[in-house]
Amino acid sequence: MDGSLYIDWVPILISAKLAFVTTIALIILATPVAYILAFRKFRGKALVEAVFALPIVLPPTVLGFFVLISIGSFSPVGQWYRDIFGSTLAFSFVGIVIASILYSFPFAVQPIQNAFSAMDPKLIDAARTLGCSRWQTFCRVIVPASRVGIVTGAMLSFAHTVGEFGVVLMVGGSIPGSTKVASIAIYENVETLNYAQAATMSAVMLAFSFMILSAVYYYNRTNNQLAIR
Amino acid sequence: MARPLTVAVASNALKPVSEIARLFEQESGLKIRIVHGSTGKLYTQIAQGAPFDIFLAADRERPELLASNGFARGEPFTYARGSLALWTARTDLNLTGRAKAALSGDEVLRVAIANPDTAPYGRAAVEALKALGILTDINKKLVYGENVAQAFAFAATGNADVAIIALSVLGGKEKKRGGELYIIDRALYGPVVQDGLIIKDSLDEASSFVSFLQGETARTVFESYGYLLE
Repeated sequence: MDGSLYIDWVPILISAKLAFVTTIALIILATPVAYILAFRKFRGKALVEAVFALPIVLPPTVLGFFVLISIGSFSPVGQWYRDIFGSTLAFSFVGIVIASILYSFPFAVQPIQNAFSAMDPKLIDAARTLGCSRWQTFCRVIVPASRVGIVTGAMLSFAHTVGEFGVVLMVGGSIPGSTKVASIAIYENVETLNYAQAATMSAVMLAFSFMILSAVYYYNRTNNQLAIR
Repeated sequence: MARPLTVAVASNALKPVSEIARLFEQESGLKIRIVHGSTGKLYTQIAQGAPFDIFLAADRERPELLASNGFARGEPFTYARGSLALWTARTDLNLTGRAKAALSGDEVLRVAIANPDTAPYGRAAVEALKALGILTDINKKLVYGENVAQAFAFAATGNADVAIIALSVLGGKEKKRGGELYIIDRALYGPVVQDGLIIKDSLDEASSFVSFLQGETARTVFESYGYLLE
């Protein structure tokens, strides 16, 4: 129980790296899903949407336990990974990235899907009549018009991943320098009665989260005003 | 309305303490409520005034600390001594007489233990690995569960090859849970002494449960769950 204000930056940097990698992966993976959900009609769409929204409802430990079972050495995925790479998928940085992608998926998909759905369909029709391919329409019309939604999705994914605890606790194995993220380091500091260290790291997390959220709201406000003008 | 006698117990001792509480209820006609969690969490809750009567920790430090800070009625007492075991779900992994070689060799990728910073059984596991002389060799293979139960879960789901756990997690020597169990030599680590405490402002019945907890019936229950008698 030392009262020094020394901050262990390693877990904070791991959290930041995890959030960064997860966000990039999510934008790449969530955009096509959001596109299909926004523009295509197909049977069972409500069920698909429900599946993608599940991580919002499921307790993180439940999700983490599912992941742990699915990537364990008794599962085909875990067995395959172990045969190829000679290591376990759980307790690795890749493992917690996969878990984080699942966990934050709805936070990326939903703002992007909403932005796509809110587009004036006339713009898309116009682009198509003027000879744009589907891909060109997507890149030159849909994405620029939906940038607020995409940026919001990215920022929420980032913030949500930084705040992650239960999933990483289940899948990560708290390895210092690899899978011990800031939230877990704070938890362990409380458990070992290092309240000063826990409080300092919490303050860093609080300031960081506040900055991200302020940026999201500021960005949304300025861009909505632009859209109105 | 009077609250029932509330016992806050460290997760590793939940099963035997629940059983002992049931026996005590039958004998005394009193009602017992049990809450469980990690020792660190329960400690923090008690220090913040949680309405518990008895604290049964997984270590000696936390009850001692509460007592020296004036949260206790009387002195801490020892209620159980835990022992360590190796458990694996891999039936192809024979550890008899060659645990040392197997753990440091290529057939084992991951060894799960409870976090030594937060869990006494994690600390004991590190002690045992050090005494075996393989701690530095297998340091990179170690993964840390929040407690012994999570370390066990890592091995049970096949994410770790082996887990070093408290024997009590399995509920005794006979319960192998579909895997293989190896008792770790008691000379390799200091016993995990679990202390308890009656919290100040507790109900008067607290002390009668504590006597029961240290009596012959309770000892038999603890022993059947893999705790040591000394």
